[in-house]
Amino acid sequence: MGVEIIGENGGSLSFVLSDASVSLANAIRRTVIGEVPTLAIDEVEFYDNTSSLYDEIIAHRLSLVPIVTDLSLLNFKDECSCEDGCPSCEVELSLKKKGPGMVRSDDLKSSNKNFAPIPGVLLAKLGKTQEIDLKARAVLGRGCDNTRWQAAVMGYKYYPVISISDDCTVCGDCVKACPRSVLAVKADKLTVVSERDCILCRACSDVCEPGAIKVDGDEHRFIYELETTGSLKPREVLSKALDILKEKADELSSKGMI
Amino acid sequence: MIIPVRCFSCGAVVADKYEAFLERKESEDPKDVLDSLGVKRYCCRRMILSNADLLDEVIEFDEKSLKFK
Repeated sequence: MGVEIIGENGGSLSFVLSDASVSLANAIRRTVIGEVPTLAIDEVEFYDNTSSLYDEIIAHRLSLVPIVTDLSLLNFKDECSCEDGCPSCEVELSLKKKGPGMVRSDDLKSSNKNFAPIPGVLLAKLGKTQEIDLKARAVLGRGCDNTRWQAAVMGYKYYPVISISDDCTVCGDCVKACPRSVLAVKADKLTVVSERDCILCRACSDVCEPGAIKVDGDEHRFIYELETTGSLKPREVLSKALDILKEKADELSSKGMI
Repeated sequence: MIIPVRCFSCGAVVADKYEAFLERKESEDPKDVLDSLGVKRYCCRRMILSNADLLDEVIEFDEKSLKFK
């Protein structure tokens, strides 16, 4: 089994996983989406809200704002040694703003500098006479419980394998048909320029009259794309997810189930 | 009403890109703006493209009705 990173850009990461089964590929995807812990607002206390949005709407919007998380500094609330919330399992945030103007996530003041919400998220809009004053508590959670804790968006596809046989007449129809410009005619020969961009739509083989192109997915190689919501770094999400997956597999094998 | 914080389908955050989109779409092609903001999937693109900002009208109504109380 091998992992090759093919692209990394701020909040996103793409890599190729080879010599793996479909079930493992999907297990990794599900762990990344559902099991990696992140911080999100869980409870909101309103002192004042004269805005045009109901308390519930604002609380819901607040909960979906990703908060930059340092996993080494926080515990899950139910696993914490405290009785009812402490600084090592909860982060307090407050928001106080008078209109007119936009309320953004930048206005949320965090009690702990290590855990600040990502900037620029629109939360509400206030008129001249309106104001919001609230306190919120963020806790660690998992994406499988609620989207607000989802650490990343992740998907994968089979590695495209495009084969061109000798029947090819170099008519160029497939080049025009391809939505991702994967094919090109170079020196009177049809060549595959960027096979990783292929989305296995088979538009090329559909228009090929001699049937010279065959597009298939390699069922043991996968191209992943991972995009974080902003609370953790992409590599952090992936390594944490793999740790969790390994832990779960160890637990199963220790019980003799695999 | 107001732009949803996350994409309904995939869960990626879109509310932090909306203001930049509104500003830039006046002078640029909306397609290029979305591409450069990193909104790749069509589920997220429709969140931004199909949003109707009605909150301004509600605020106006709320503030006027408050005056008459």
